[in-house]
Amino acid sequence: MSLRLKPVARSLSVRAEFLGLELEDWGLVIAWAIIMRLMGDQIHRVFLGLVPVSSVLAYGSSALLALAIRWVKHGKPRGYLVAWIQQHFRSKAHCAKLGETHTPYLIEEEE
Amino acid sequence: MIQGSNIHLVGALIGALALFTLALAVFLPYVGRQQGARTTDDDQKKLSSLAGRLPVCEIRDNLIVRRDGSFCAGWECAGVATQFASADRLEAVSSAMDAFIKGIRYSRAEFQFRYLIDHDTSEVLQQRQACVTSPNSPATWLEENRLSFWNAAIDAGQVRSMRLVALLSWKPNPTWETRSALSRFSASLWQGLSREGTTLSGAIRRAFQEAKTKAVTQRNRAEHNQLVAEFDQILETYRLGLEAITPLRRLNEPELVRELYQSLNPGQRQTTRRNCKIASLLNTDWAEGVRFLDLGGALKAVVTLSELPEATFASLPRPILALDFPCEVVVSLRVPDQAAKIRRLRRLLKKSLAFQLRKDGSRRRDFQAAALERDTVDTLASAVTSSQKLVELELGVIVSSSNVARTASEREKAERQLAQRVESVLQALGQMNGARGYREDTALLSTFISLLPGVQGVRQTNRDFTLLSGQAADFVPLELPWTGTKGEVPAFLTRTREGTLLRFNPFSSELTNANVLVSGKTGSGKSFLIRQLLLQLQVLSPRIAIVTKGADYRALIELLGGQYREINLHTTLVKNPWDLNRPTQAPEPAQVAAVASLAFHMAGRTGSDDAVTLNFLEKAVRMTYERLLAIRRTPRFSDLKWSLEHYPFENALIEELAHLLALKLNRWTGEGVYAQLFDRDTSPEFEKSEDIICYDIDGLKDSPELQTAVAFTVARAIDQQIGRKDSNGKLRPTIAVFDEVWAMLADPVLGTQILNAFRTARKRYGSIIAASQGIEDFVGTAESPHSVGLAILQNTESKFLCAQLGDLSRLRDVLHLSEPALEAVKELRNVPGHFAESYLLVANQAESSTVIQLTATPFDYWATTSHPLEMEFRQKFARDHSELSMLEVVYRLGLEYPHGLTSSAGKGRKEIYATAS
Repeated sequence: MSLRLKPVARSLSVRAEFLGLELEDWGLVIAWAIIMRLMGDQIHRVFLGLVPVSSVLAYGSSALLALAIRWVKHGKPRGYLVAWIQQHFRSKAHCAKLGETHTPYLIEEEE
Repeated sequence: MIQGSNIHLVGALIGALALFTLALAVFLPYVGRQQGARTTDDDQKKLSSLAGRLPVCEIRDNLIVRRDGSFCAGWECAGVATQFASADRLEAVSSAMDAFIKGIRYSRAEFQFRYLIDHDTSEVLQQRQACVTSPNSPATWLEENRLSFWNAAIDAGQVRSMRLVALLSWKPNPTWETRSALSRFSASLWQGLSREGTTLSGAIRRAFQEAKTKAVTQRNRAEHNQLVAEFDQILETYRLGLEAITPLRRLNEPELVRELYQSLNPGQRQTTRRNCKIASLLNTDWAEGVRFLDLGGALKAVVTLSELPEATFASLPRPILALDFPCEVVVSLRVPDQAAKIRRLRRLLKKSLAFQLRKDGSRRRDFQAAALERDTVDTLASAVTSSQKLVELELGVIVSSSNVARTASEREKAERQLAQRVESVLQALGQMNGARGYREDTALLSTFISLLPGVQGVRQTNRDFTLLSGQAADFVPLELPWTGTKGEVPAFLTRTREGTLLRFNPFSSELTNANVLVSGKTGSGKSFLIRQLLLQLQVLSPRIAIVTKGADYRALIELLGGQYREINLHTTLVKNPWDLNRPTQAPEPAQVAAVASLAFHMAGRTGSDDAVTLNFLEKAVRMTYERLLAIRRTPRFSDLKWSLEHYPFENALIEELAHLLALKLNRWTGEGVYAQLFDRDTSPEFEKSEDIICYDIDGLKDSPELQTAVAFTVARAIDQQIGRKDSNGKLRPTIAVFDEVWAMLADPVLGTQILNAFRTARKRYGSIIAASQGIEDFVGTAESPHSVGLAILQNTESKFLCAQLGDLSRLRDVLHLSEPALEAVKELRNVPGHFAESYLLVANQAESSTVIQLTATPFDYWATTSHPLEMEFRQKFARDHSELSMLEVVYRLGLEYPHGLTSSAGKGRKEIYATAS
């Protein structure tokens, strides 16, 4: 008797994506687009004589950002962007004896 | 008309909201945790509190209590040794695990299976060392040398150990105190704002304070005891379920402390006198490097499962369990609320269908959505229509460097070692039917913490997969190699192919008898194994008797100070088979039967019915004993012959039979050619009780029937020695080795007598080691089976199978070997000078079997080698250095040629041989 193979539903665990980006990635792209739009509106120039700079900044840079995020996240697990940002705001050294003030679990031990 | 400024305002609001959401996602996990950092010192500003990051609060009542008020308890599992089990058995284990997972009813319970691969410790060697009693003997010197050899191997990390720990975490129903930090923060903020006279900054400060101080759930003792009682009930339920799969033992408080302490402080092994508060368990500062964590010099990396395999099957995780460096394979399982999970899957199905539709209702090709639809439908169908449950599973492997790095160069080396090990893990995951792993980088710290013992289920790692329970069961690493007999002196220690140490004691109470079979073709390492066994079993201070053909054991016997006796037609060494234990008393029935059987063998087939002949001979033997004992003499075969010649008349048939038997005994009595060995009184040498004795009957090879008769006589003599106390009145174990002398089994009458010895040896603290080139020597062929040999096999608990010759079907049939076991026997290797492999099967069960790799110290090697070239070389060396004892010879040869002569290249070998002296 050979071992019984049980086919796995691999698709169930794929991340929820839209155009290759996760929800938080879209949050960043949208935020980026709006900020760029607000900044671009202060620049009253036309790019290559055709497109206003504000539009290039808002849509062009956001599209580039989306592509960049997609490229960077290729092969990476879910929630990579959030973990990446967290990593940059987190201290890299963790001290065992720092903040040792221990809140007791049992209340009566406090007394 | 909408003004442009309004659009900008709305845009700015949406942007701000998006940024706020992102910021929440990023920083929320740290709320209430960063508060631990002190800001008084500039250096400490860069540090964060480790205690704040770990969700463990303390260990009490044999439980790990977490900060959110949940509990975790654990069991040490013995695992299932299914490496050589049949597919049926593997499926049975998988089904049992599936049934266990299906039985998990609490969605707030989560299981974690931790498969810990580490370097073995020298504890077993200390146990063994305690048994060495006789000082200043060659055996003791070799033993001490052997222990040093193993200690060096253990220190070098060449011996690994595997453990399986199962942890169950359970979260009681949530109360206000057990709500998340965010909910506590927002509720406090709301209260603060709605209260009159509170400023915004004051409300925020108070809310942060609330989130921080209530990060630890507090309970009074009564509430704690009530919850512990509830958890104990759940634990008991699951213990019963798990115990049906593998034997297990609940981890007590010190063991939980040790587990956690070693995970948090891998560079420190001392865990005694630790109290159970998390602060006292944290003794090592951590630092994050590029894709690794530095835990006080011990580097750690984490690889998580990023893609599922195409299909699962029993024994799926074998590739990662075969890793030969320190690592922890962690599998977390939870059975979520099935209704909620099915609702989620339905939503997923709808999305997948929506992706395949155009606006006008026509279908468009979206392969990913189509695959998702198919998978969702299949999973839903299985979940709804069958008993399968939807399970969330996480798999991670924590990889460690071997040593604590203290200097820059050590650290660089450790980083390289770690990178190499991570690659091995990724490769192993790839071998799991197409699964893929990912080396954690940005989320390394959080993933590592979530994979620590007793931490599962507190935080989401985003690395979970949804599977059916049957598939999830295949991921659980239950397979642990058999480690040998337990609870006794580790009399025989050897390395297994998996790199673990096997402890084996033939006299273990786990075994029904102490008999051992060794089978293997010439050059397979069979004799080497037996000699190693005899050398190592010296820790039991046994008496050893060997019957063999050839001089293979001479060096070992001389080394151990035993007696080596060659038996041939010219020898004066005689054992009278008629000897009685107590010469004055009447013979026991077994003695009469044995002498009659030998006489039957000597006479050969006589008369038409063997049973009648044997009965008659027994009667004649009894008469002879009565006659000779009356005049206080021990009978001999010539006395039997006289009895037969003068047998009282009963009938013509008996008279003819007696006459024929007397005639046939002529060769063995009086002046017959074989009388020298059988018709004499026992030699004084035979009377002496030697600790180690070897009978070489190779000199009788020209006459197989004589050789068989002598082998039987000596075997009987040895059997009578088993169970005798020594001069101090102490019962010592007796080991009898019969090497290649199994022709007597072909004779059913003699075979029955030998079978009796096999059956009763254990009761008398004896062990019979039977060696042969093929299993057919014992059990015969399928066409002509030896019933006695088969019975002997049933009375032999332990079997060492070395490389075999030819067809293995007979081996498979009589030992009931599974296909993997048969494959293992086929693949056994013998690398002269390095190791010899053999398959050890105990109690005919695949679960108690393993492939051993027998290695030897250079001195053990030279003491036990049976390679003709090396034996001759040793003999020549001893002859040329006659002033040296055998131990000194072995010592010098071991120093000069630690791997023997046979591992060298052919040319070098000749040169060495030429310069033997």
